[in-house]
Amino acid sequence: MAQYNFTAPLFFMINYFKITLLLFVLSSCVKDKPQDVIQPQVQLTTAKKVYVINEGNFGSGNSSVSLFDSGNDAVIENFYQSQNTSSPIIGDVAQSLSKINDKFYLVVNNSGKIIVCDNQFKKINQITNLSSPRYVLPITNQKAYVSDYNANAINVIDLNTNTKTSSIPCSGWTEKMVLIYNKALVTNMKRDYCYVINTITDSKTDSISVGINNGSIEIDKNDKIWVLSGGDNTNSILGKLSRINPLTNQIEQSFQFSNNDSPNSLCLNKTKDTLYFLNGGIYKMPITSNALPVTEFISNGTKNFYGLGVNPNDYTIYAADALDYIQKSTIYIFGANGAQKKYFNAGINANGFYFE
Amino acid sequence: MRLKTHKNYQKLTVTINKHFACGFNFKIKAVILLALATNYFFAQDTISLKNVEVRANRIELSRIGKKTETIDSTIKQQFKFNSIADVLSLNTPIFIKSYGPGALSTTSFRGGNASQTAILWNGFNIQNAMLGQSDLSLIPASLFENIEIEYGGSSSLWGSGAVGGSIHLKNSNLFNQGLTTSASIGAGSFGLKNLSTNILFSKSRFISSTKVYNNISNNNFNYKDTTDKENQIKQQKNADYNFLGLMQELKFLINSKQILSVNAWINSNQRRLPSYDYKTESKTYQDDVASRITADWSFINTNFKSTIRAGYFNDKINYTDSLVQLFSKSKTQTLIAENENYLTWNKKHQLNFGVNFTSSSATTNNYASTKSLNKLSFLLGNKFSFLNNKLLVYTAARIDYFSTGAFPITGNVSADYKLTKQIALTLNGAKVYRHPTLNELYWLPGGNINLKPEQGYTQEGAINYNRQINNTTFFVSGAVFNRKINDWILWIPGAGGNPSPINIQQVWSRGAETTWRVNYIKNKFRCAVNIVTGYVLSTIESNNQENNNSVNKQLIYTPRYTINSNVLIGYKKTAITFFNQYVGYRYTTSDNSQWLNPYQISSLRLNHTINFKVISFNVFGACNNLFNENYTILLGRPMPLRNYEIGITLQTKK
Repeated sequence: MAQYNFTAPLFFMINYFKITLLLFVLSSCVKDKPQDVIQPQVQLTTAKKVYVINEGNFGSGNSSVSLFDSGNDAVIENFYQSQNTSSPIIGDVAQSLSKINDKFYLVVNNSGKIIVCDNQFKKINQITNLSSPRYVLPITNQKAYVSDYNANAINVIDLNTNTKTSSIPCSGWTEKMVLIYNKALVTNMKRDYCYVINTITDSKTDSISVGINNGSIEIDKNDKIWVLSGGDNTNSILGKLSRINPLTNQIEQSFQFSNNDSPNSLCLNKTKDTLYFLNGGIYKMPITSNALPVTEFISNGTKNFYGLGVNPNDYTIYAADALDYIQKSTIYIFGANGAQKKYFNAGINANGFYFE
Repeated sequence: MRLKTHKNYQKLTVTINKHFACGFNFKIKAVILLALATNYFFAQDTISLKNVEVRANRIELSRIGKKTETIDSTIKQQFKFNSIADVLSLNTPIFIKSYGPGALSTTSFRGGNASQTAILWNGFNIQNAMLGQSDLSLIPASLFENIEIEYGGSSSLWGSGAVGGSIHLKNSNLFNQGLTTSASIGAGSFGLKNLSTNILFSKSRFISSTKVYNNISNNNFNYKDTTDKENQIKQQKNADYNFLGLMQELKFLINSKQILSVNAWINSNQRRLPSYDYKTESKTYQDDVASRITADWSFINTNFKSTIRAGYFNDKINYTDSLVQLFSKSKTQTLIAENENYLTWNKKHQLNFGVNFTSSSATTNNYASTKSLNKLSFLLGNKFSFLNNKLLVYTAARIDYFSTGAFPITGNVSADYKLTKQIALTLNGAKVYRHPTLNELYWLPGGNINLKPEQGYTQEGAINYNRQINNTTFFVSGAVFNRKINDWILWIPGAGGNPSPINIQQVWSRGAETTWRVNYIKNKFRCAVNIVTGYVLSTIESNNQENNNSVNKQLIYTPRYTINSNVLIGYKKTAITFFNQYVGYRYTTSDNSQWLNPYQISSLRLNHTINFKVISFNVFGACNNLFNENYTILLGRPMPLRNYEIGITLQTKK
C-alpha cells in the first residue's frame, strides 16, 4: 500500500484536538441544578375540598397528600407538606385518609403508623405500633378498627389516647371495611372470604365467601353490601361482584367477571344507587342491574387508572392516572355523564380520594 | 527476563512494542505498560514475557473503534475486599445504582439501564436470564486480575444487552510461573470480615488457580436522618450479609497449537434486606446462589485460530419475607455453546466467523410453568489493516434467531486510526439491541409475549493523546457518544389494569467523557493523577401515554455529571491513593419533578508491601467517606458515614 505523508494535516488535527478538549472542559460547566417549582400561593374557598392520597414509591418515603378546591379549581400538590413545614415527611406509602371527629387519620402503610391531623391538616399526634395498616373504620366516637396487610388481625385503636388497645385475629391481608348493624364487614385480599366482626364484642362471628382478592366494599341505599373480588389471573380464578344481605350474612346475588379481568376500586355515587369500579377503564352499573356492564363507561385509552372515587356531593367521578408509576399522577374529573371536565396533577401513585 | 532497574523498564517498553507485533493498538499498549510498570514497582520483581499470549480473540476485535479502559493494577490492589461495584463506581464514569453496601448494585452505562450493559466473564455474558441484569455487589474485584471496560455498543460481538457498554472480567495466567499462594484477611467497620485465598500453580503445560473468598458484615452502620430532628443518627438494621465463593480455573497447553481451559465459579450469597426508618421491622432475606462452569478449547495455527466453548450457568434466587408470607423462589439455567474462528487470509485481513447457541430456562412461582428462551446466532466479520497498520477497520454482522420469533440483525463498522505517534482516533457505528428478559415475557400477571427487542443505533468516537516526556506519561482522552433506542420497554398497565411491559418509548442518550492521566515514575517513586468525567443526557423522546410528562426529560437515576478523580503516590513498596467522587443530581421521577442532591465523597486507600525471600506481606487500609458526608445514591437508601477497612495479604512464591 502506498505510503501517505501525514504531516501536512497534522497541525490542523492537533489544533482540532485541543479545541475538542476545550469543549469537553466547557461542557462540564453547564448548570445542572434543577429548577425548583415554586408553589403558587393559593387562596382556598369555602367549597368542599377533595384530598388525594398519593402513595409515592414503595421504600422511597415520598408519599404526599394533594388538595383540590372545587371552588376555584386550585390544587395544592403537597398539602401535607405545606401544613407541616417543620416535619414535612409523611413516610413510606400513604394508603388511606379518613376523617373522624373532625380529625384526619392518614394511614401510612409501610411506616406502620397513622398520622393524626387536626381539621387544618396539621399533625397533632400519631398512632404507632401497627404492622402494615391499610384503612380505618370508626366504630364509635372512641373506637376504630384498622385493617392490616400482614398483622393477620384487625387492630383496635383508641381515638382519644391514639393508641392500639387490642387486636382481633383475622388471617390474611385485610382491606376496606364497612359498618352496619353493629357488624363490621372486612374485605380480605388473601382469602376467599369477607369477615364479619361483632363490634360490641370485638370478635369475628362469620365469614362470607366472596372470592379471592376482595378489597373494596360499599353499602347501597337499600342497606345491602356490595363486595368486589378481583380474582387471581395467575391461577385462572375469576373475579366476582357480590351483594350481601347484612342481616343474614348471605349472598343474595353474584356476578362473575371474565378471564383476564382485574376489577377493583368499587365506589357508590351520592344517591347510593349506582356502582362504579375500575377494570382497566371505568365501569358503571346500577344496583338494580341483572348483569355486569359489558362496555366501559369511560375508556382508559393509554391511561393507567390506579384510583377511583365518586364525589358524594355532586356525582362527579375522580380517576387517578398513575402513568408510568414514577411521575406525578394525573387526576381526571368526569361529569356524571362520563364527559371529562378537567384534569390536574397530584403526587406519585395517587390511589384514592377523600371527599369532604 | 529479569528486570531490576528502571533502565530495564524502558527496555521492556521497547520489547513489548516489538512483541505486540503490530505495535499498533497503542491505547492498549499504554494500559499494559502501566500495568506492567505498577506490577514492577509494587507487586512483583520478575516479569516473564516468554509466553505472553498474542491472541486473536473477540475482545481484541471488540476494542477496535471503542474507548476501552483497564483498571490500574495498583489501584485494583487497593480494592482487595471490595466488589467490582466499588471499583467501577470510583474509577469510571459508569453510575452504579447501589442500594447500599452489600445490597443490589447495578450499572447505568452511558445513560442505559442495568440490562443494557453486558457483564462478561471470559467472554460469556453472565446476566441473569430472568432479570437481564447482574448484581455487581456479588462479584468480588479480587477474583479477576483484569477488569476491562469497553465503552459503547457492540451487540454484533456480544449479543443482546451490549448497548451502553461491556465489562470484561478475566484472568490470563501465564504458564511456567511456579507456585504462588496467597491468603488475605481483612476486617472493617460494622463487623466487616473478609477472607480470601489464592493458590496459583503454573507449570510449563498446566495452570491451576484456586480462589476462595468469604465476605461477611453485620452492615449495621449509622446514618443521618435529617428529617428527624430529635433522633438524627440512626442505625441500619437487618442488613447483614455473608458472601461465599470458589473459583477454580484450569488451563492445559495440550501442544504448541492447542489450549484447553476449564473454569468454574460457584458462589452462595446470603443477605438480609434492611427496613430503614420508614418501616418498623423487616424479616426479609435473599439468597443468591450461582454455579457457572465454562470450558474453552482453542486451536491456534499460524494463520488460523478456532475456539469451541461451552458454558453452563445456574442461578437461584430465593426471596423470603416472612412478615407478608412471601416466599419467592426462582431458578434459571443457561447453556451456551459456541464456535468462533479467526482466519488471517491475507497480510492485511483477518476474517472471523462464529456460531452461538444459547438456551435459557427459568422456573419460578411467578410463571405459569417453566419458560425457556433459545437463541441461535451467526457472526461474520473482517478486520482490515491499512497504512502500515496505522488504520485498523473492523466490520461485523450478526443475526440472532430467538425462539420467540425475533431475529434482530446487528452490525458494526469500527475503526482505530493512529494519527501520529501520540494521537489516536477511534470511531464506532453500530446497531444494538436487547432482547426482552424472561420476566418481561412471562411474568404473571402482566408478562408480554409479544414484546419486540429494544433496538437502536449508536455512534461513538474518541480521541486519545498519549505522550511520554522523560519520566512522565500523559494520557488524555475525550469521547463522545450518541445513541437512540426504539421500542424501549416500560411496564405500564395492560388489559384488566395489570402492569405489563410494552415497547413504548424512544430514548436518546448522548454525552461526553474525558479521561486525564498523568503518571510520573522515577526510581522508586511513582505519582499518578487520574481524572475521569462523564456527562450524559439520556432523555425520553417519545411516549404515547396521554399527559405523560416524561417526554424530553432525563431518565431517572441517570446523573448528568459524574467526576471521579484520584491521586496516587507510591514510594518503594508503599502506595497511598486519595479518591474523590462527585455525582450530580439524579431525578427520581420520570417527569423530573423530584430529585436527589449531588454528593461528593472522598476516601483514602493505602497499601504497603514488605518483601522477604519467598514470602511477602501486603498491608492494606482504607478510610471510606473521609469527610463524613451524609448521602444517598438512591431515594430512601442511606449510605454509611465514615468507615474503615484494614487487611493483610501474605504471599509466597516458588
